[in-house]
Amino acid sequence: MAISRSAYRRYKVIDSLLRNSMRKYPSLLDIQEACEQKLDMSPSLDTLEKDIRNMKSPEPDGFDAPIVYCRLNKGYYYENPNFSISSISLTDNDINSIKEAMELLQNISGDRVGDRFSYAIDKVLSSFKETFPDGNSRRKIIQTDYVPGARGFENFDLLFSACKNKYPLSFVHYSYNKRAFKSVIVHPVMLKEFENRWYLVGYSESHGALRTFGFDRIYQPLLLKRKYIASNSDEVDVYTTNLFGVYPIENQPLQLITIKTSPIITHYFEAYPVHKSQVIEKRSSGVGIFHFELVPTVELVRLFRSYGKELKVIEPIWLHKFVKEI
Amino acid sequence: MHHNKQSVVFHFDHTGHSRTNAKLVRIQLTSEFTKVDFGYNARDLYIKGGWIRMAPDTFIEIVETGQRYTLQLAENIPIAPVHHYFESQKDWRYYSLFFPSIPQQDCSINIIEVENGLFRDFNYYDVKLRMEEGMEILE
Repeated sequence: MAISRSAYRRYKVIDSLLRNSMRKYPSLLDIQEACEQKLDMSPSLDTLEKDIRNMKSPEPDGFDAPIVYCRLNKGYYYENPNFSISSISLTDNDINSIKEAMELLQNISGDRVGDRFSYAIDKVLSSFKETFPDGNSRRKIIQTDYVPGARGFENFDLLFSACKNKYPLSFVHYSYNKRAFKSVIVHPVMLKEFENRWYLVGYSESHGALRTFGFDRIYQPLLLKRKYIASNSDEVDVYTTNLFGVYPIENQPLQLITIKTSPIITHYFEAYPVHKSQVIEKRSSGVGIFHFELVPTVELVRLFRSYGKELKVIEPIWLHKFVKEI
Repeated sequence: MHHNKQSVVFHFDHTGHSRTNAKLVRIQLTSEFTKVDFGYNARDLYIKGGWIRMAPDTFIEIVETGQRYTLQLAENIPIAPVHHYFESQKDWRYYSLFFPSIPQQDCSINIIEVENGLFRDFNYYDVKLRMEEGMEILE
């Protein structure tokens, strides 16, 4: 449940009264009066009672505020006198940095981040709006080609947690090529996004090796209470550093790949390197000879083919034939 | 009511009594329910892949005791007389059936849609549950 901006403004007033050591134990009437003075509004006593209840609610819905009513003094107080709903002190620079980061995140994330994280951002944003009334972090400045509704994305939080906490997974995988369902046990390593699609990389017990599973083909993952099998770090490196894309071509090691591109295509490869290992030898005609050190992938072949006659694989020979024959 | 202490999952690659049946891929035993997961590929026998549905009185039978547990809930597959019609011969469906909780002990089970059913009925015989093969699920 997101906190509205007006509710958050009232919480701030309540918080400041409860922390005021010069005038302890504010009553609901005192809080109402303070709201009138500070916010130009007079919330009902019922609303303020509800606000206090909400502030006392545990995270993430509330602030877990230790608010107690003192019958003797007929007012409220914090049981922990050091508590505050905004207890982290930030400098102007800190706040500006957070503001910029949040704007960026809001613009690029959309629905990609899980519900819990979205909620946390909303909560911070409501505070940020309070501090920066001119802030307009909802305005989209960066547009990505993300389209909501991708199948399997609902499992993002669980798969993320499995990778982070090293929990083995049981799920049913559907292979589009083989048209086959298979129940698998996977020891997850990481989540990877490529061309707007999400993948789980992990050690598959049935394959005896690292494998990539598209989110869209993963059904009902379950976390298992089972010993986690850590993957070989060299093999993991291949997936993190030496791949363009996600699906390595079977039995192909890290190797030198050379391509020749037409002058126009050369511009694109220069502007958007495919991989950090990319090196160019440029001919005076504008033709480019590019070298990469990569594990060949299905996606790399697809990229090469997408340029048609404007791109030719020089080395290795098998890849030259593979790209032409597919 | 059985008091299964933990939730366990079993993996299978089990085709029913006919090759045209859905594939049984997982069984989950918990204190609340027994969940059976299936995967089905539409068939080229029919122009648009045909249809699927489950009979409402589908049940699990424990072979050793004859005890029966009737279907409580179907997820992602309709209960007859409603059918799910595929749109192409290349479609597929992942679906689950929920039954009451069965005891967590070594046994064989039959999952029966229609007793003495035809090839198109989804019947699975002698599915072995060996507790040592079950994997505990993290709650």
